[in-house]
Amino acid sequence: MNRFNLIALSFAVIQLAGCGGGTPSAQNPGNGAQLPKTLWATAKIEGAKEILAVKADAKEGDLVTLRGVIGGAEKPFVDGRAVAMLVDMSVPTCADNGESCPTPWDYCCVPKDEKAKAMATIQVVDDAGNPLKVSLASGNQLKPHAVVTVQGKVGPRPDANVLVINVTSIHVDAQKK
Amino acid sequence: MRILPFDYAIRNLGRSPLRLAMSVVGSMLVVMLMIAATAFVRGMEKSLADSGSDRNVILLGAGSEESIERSEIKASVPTQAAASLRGVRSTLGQTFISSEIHMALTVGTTRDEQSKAQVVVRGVDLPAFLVHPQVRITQGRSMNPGANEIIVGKLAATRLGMDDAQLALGKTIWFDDIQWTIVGRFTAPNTVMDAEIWVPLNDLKVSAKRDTISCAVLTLDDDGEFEDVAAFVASRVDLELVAVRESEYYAKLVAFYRPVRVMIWVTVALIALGGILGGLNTMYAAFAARVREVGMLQSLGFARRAIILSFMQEAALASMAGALIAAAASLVLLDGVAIRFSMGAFGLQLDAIALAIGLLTGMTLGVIGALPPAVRCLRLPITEALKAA
Amino acid sequence: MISPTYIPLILRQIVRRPARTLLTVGGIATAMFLFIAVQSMQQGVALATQQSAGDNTLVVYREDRYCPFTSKLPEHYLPRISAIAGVKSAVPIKVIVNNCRASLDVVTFRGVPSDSLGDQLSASVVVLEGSIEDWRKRSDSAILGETLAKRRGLRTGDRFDAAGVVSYVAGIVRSDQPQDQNVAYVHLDFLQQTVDRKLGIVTQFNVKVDDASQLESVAAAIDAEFRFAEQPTSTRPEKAFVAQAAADMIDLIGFAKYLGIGCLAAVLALVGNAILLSVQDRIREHAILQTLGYGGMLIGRLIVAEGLFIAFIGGAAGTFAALAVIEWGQYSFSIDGLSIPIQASASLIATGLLIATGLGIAAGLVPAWQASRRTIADCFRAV
Repeated sequence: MNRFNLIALSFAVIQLAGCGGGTPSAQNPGNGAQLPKTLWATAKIEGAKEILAVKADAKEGDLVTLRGVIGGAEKPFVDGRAVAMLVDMSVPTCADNGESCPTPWDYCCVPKDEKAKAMATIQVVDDAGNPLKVSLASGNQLKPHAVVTVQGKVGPRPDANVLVINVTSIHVDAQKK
Repeated sequence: MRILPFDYAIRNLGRSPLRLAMSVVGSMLVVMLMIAATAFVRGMEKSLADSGSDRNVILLGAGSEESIERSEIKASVPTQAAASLRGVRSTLGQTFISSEIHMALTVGTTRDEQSKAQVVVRGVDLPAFLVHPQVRITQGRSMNPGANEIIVGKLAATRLGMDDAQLALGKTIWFDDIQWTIVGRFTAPNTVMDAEIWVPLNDLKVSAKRDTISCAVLTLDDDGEFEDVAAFVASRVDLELVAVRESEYYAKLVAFYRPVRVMIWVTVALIALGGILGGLNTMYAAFAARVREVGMLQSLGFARRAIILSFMQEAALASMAGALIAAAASLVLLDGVAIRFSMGAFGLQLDAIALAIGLLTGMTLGVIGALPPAVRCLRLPITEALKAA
Repeated sequence: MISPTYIPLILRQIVRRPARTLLTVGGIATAMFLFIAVQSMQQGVALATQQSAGDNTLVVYREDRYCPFTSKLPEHYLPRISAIAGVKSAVPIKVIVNNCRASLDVVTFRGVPSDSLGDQLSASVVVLEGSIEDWRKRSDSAILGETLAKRRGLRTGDRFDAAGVVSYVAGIVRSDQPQDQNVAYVHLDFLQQTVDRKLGIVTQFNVKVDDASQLESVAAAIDAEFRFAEQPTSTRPEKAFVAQAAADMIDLIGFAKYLGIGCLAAVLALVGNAILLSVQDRIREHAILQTLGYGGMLIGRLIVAEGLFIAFIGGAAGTFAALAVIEWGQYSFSIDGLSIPIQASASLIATGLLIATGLGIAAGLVPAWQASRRTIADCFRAV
């Protein structure tokens, strides 16, 4: 192979390698962020309350234990951030109504304002209080429509319908179909 | 292989001036149509694609991702977003978050005018000019709130079917039963904003009697990431928002118009097909009359391929002549012509690609038009050909 | 005109040069396909916008607005409208579209009060699947027009998610009203709750008047009633409303008329060209026929008949191909929540065939005239 071809090939390889960068994917975060291994609880967490009950009187900074279903939208996980949405156990899905629904966790049968009242948001934050740059769905521990119990501190509540929990522990109780 | 001289093809073209004229005119019509259709589709796509920036994020009402005009969000959303979001660009203390109302309204030059056309009226504040840097004021000045002042885009007159002079500086138009004065003209080339009318946000809220806004558009700074905006939206379920990259929103609009584009392409393809079929028929007859001549050329030693090549040259010359005339006529008549279409207006894009497609079409017409008849004509053995009438 | 005994002769002339005949027929079929497509768009516009004598529906809309998102009328206008002299019935309707812009695949929801669906749908509506009773039983149910259901591949029992509204298909209907074919009818309060989060706001009122000749006067009375209200109204006959709201699209379709005329010119040129060429080929034959005793006029008529046949075959192929595509595709332009259907009626098919045949005859006239006038000696000399 003559020298020119070798140089050209080298450039091509460097370009291809460089192209692999860009936006970090949920599975392989470019900045090396990973969910802490201590996040996933192996044993059931006791003392869980329902979302509606917690929303009624929780204040910023309270330590709470919450149970809910991962869902509330067709994509309940935020891509590239450790943020997910939970819905109260009492809200029925279309599947519960006897229909065959491909994405029952979007709760599309429920009016939006009722759904908003029964929802909460969980996130895993770093020391600065910002969500980690990795999806909660990475590692396949969490899937939509999973029933989870979470523990963490309540974040700011600018509105009665807003409940954000900075979770330190998540236990997957069951996986609904 | 000895090929026939090029001027043989040229001289043959002159044999039947009527047939030559028919080929040239036919080719010119088809190519002009092809160029016009390409310019239309490219103009439409470009005006949508260039409207959206990768670094801008639109916050819309949930369920309205397809259409900003139907979105309604609380007027406090931009303030709350500015307070909670990091990674939003700011300059000299001004955050790049624009509160906007997009409404399709009918406007007229007088209060009671019956035949009014629809135009997108956008209610904005100062940050809008930061978030949409494509917008440049070319005449006059920006509007002052509370004074019923507006600025109009370059293609707004086309959109409304009015004379440009009717929207000159100082002229007035009416909508929502209020008279508005034009204090400035702006341009935002190749974007949907070029055909809009911009009004101070609060003035529009008052005249349209609404307290919600349509959307908030923010610009991410170099470190900002879309995922942070998505996380904000997920944590504030009370606001019922959805976050969409501006470029994605307009890409979806391009997809929304796909059936119309497909329809245009199918129509042009059918017309080209009709042209080819008609041309083939003429070519068959033309070459059939020259069977004896072809036999003679073969007996002189020219190979079949050389003769086919000469026939194709002839046909291609005629159709390319038509194509070139069409290209020149299109450049003069069509380039930049503004078209009203579905709540907006855009200019026909007669760029290199449109012209290339037109010329390629001309060439293809010529080649396809000549090949089957030429091959057919050369099927006969030389002795049969020489005996033909 | 011409005796049926000559038909085999004509047909044999046509298939003598199969390739060229096929090309001509193909060209005519393409041109007629386009012509029928353009005409069916024009027909759709006429159906949606031209008033016929019996039309008695008015649309009460927010003044100066066309896009449904921008027209917000209070539902409490209803009793005031019903009280106006000449008004037979009034139905509040909320319209939601996924996009106000014009395209071929737009979803439109119309929310009507549960007991008013019967008034709203035309008397000749045919229920294809499901039933209106099923629709009444659920709050989130929808009745779909046939065009919409076919386009989106929906059947009774499916969930239908569009424009932020999730509904359950309770039935599919076919209607002769173009606006009903491309729409999903849902319960008014369901739509209001889903979209507005509150009751009380509608997009328009559809008003039926006692006497069709009083349309204008009742419209003026309604507008006068609300002239100084918070949301002033603009009331027009339904078809006139569609004509104004869809003016953009109608202009474009009107422009396509020239394309239709171009197609007809192309048919004329193609048939004329084909006949001319075939006559030139057969000069000697015509001379022989004349020596055998066939008169010049007969030869002329044979040539015209040839043109007629070719044009008819090509025209039929193109026309029926267009019909098949239109029926299968169920296309409909939507703009501002209104529909302009693309429909090919039986009369259009007949017109297309008739025009193609007529053009075939016209194209053959000049060559036929020339051929019939040529003397035998001229023919032989021409060869």
